[in-house]
Amino acid sequence: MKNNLSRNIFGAFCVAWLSNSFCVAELSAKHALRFRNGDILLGNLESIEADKSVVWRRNDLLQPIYFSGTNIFEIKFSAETKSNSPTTNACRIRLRNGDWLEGKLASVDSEKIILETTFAGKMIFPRVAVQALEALPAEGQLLFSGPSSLEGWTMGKVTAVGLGEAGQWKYTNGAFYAARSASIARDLKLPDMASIQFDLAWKETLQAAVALYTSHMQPINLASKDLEPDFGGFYSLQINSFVATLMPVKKNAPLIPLGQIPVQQFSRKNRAHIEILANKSRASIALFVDGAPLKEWVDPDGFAGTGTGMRFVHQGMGALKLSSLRIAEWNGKLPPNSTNDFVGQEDLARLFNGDKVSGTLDFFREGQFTISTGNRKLNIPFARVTEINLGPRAEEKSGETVSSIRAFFADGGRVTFRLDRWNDQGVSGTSPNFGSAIFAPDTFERVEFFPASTNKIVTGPIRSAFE
Amino acid sequence: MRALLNRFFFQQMERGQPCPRGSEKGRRSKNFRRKSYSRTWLSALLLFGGLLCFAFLQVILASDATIDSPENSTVLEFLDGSALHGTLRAIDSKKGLRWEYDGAKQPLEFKPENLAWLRFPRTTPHATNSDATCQFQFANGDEFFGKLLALNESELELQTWFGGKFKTPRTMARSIRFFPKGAGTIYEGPTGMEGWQLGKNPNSASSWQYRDGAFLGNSPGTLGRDLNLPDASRVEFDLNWSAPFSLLFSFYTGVFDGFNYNTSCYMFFISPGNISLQRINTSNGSASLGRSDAILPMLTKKKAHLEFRGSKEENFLEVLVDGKSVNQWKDNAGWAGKGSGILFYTQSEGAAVKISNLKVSEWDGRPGSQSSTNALGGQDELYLVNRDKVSGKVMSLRDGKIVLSATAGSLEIPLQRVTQILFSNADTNVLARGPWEIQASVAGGGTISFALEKWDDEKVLGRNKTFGIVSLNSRSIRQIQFNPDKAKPGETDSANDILWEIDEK
Repeated sequence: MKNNLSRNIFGAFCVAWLSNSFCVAELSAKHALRFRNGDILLGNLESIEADKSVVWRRNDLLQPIYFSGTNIFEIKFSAETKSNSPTTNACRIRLRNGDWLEGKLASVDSEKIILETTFAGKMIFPRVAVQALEALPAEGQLLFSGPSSLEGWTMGKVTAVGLGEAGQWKYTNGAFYAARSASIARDLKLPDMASIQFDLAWKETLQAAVALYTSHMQPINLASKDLEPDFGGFYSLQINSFVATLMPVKKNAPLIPLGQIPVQQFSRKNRAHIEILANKSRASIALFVDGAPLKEWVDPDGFAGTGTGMRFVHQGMGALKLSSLRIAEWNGKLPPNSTNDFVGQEDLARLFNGDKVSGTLDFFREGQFTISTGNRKLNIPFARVTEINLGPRAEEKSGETVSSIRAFFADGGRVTFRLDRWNDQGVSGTSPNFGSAIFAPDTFERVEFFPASTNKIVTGPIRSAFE
Repeated sequence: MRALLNRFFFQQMERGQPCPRGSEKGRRSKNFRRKSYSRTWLSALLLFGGLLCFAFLQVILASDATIDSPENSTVLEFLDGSALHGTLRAIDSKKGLRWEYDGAKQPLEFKPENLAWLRFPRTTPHATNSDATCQFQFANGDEFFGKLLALNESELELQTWFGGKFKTPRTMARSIRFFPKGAGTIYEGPTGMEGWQLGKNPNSASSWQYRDGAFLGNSPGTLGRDLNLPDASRVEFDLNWSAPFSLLFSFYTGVFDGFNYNTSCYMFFISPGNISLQRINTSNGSASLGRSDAILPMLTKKKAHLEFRGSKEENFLEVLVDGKSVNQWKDNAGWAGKGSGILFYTQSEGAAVKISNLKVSEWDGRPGSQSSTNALGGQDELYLVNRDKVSGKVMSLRDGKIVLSATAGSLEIPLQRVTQILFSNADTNVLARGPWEIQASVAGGGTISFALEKWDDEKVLGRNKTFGIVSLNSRSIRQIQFNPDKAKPGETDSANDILWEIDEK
């Protein structure tokens, strides 16, 4: 699973920027520079120097601009989500400074942990800097990634009373947008065990419904569903600003929700990364928001979905953006919970079967963890482990003191380091947490200039509400 | 500072030239010198202290100046949604727009193609338009206030406060509206929160904010001000909203720090699609005076230009939306407004409203739209104070009288009797827009379009078909619209155009 924490902070400002119909085409701005006073300048980043000065280009500027980094809050990139997960030993490494990265776990010993990444090659972390290792389910075959156009999608006709004047989804720059009630559907060939991920961003009120495993491409008015044409069975995930509700929908059968779960993220923010893990054989559907597991519903009456399609319905309130939709096969293993609350003194391994093993992680080698517990040494295959919390070490130190930027990966995760140089050839930097590294620049979706608690910016209501 | 002190001391020494020793004049002079020297030192000390204070203030101001406060600096907006607060250094049609930005290592020079707006937070306030007795409207859409100086068959000459005298061919003029009592501007802004009162309720303290020439109401709360409204006045503003809203506007109120019924006033209840009016009288309670019909422009957009008019003498109120009258009310119970101010009360949670281009001015009491079309029928039309209309050809302005050649013969009509002239055959050809074609909004109301050639701290130079060379006082300009024919961010109502909030609570 891709825990896209960075999406929490992926500014909806970019929503407008990436979709901005006012963009003058010839300017082809790919990046957005955001200042601490709330100002925004679209354009193209040429480079960032070690002193954080930024060289910025725009086609309407007679020459490149050099900005001092002190006034810059962040730069956003139109990076596309890419999977950073390898197929074997896929692991998320959580650092004590809050950073986290994904890659293939290569080795662990008493001094260091080595992660092989798609974005910076081999990265070596001092063991003291690492808080936890989380095993990631190997990502199955990617079945769909988009949207990339309206082609292949069926625009539905929303006629339900109370949903206001009907509109249509519009496609712009890799996202669907709707400001009025609208429906769009597609047979996405959902597998029996599926990982469904997408990003939602909304303005004002969030009120949407997602139909799962449907064979019907037109929206169904649930209030009069029995009068609708035959639509087979499906699950309706109803999302509003406060709660998420899942209900199986079948014709001539009562509508009985499987349950409702409050979702704080929906009322506090205006965007979220949604992941749905569906398992037909277990008749289960699990919901994750911004990487956090919220609820796994199990349908006591068996799996209701009769199709392999999905339908996204904007229910008439507010404006909604849907993007980064990814459908992949899933191995059926639910990912571990967050480890932030772990306070033990020893290392603690949590296994898929629910067992816990406390002791000292000696090493990881040839696909197995070796953990000393009392007088015994246990060898545990990577595939059996959900996560390992590493106990604190005496020589812990913060890796943030010399850092100058914090970069967020497009596919989740973040890394804090002292920047040496950023240009289109690479992003080089150093950190006590991993030494030196050169990152691929297109792996990042956002970079924040010196991460500190004071890194607040003015977000004036003009911009937020009107522009 | 040292040079200043040296110069000061040097000048003092020069003034204290010694007189011949032993002379009366010399003795007096000696005493004088002693006093003079002591005065000199005292002055020097005072000056030194003053200079120290000055230097200290400079340091403070300089350090403040490095904080690029969006509230008080000019903002440059782009068609792609970018926006920068900074300082305009110059515009030159050959070199581009030169912009100083805090944090940029060199001035930024922009080409015009992607510019949208340049908004100045503080322009030279135009306290009154009392000299401006006319509102001129031109075929190219420009309109502004001024004074009619001369008029003949081929051209007219007028005087403006912001650009001096203009001469224009008659064919470029569409209409002249006369304001014998003046059309004085009472308030134009907003330029900040100063002078305005937020509601006393602690919850409403943060309900209204000022930013970039606008008030923003994000949660229930009030904002009021005593504007010393005259007996007949107009209050107009642009209103934007993010979602269905409810806004109350108190007119001629005497309470500015909260919403209550303890002041006699008129309360307009504004929501998308309609406006209703309540008469509030502290003695007799409140009474509904009725509501407008559905206001379609407000149902299909998220912005509107609202204008509220009131006349104590006539017990009359009127509301215009986007320049068109949507309702008129005659208060048969007599004028209720006992105060001389206004108050906004946003009542909606979750819907933001923005009030900008707020202007309060005297009103001549004439209801209806002020925008004009050309006179029809090939003849000029004169509207008179007694509501008569005379058609013919306006020949000239002579000795305070309009000379009109009508079918019945030549008429001379005193200017005081004329309310409006509509000219026939106004040239409606629209010029091809160049990259530096702009529309400038001037303080006191009005817009003027021209091809911008040069802009510096003092003057704006340009050229247009109506007036030829245009030379304006640059400090009189409130905002500039670039690329007038291109859609601007926020002017349409699609989801794509909304810049969504990034705040993480």
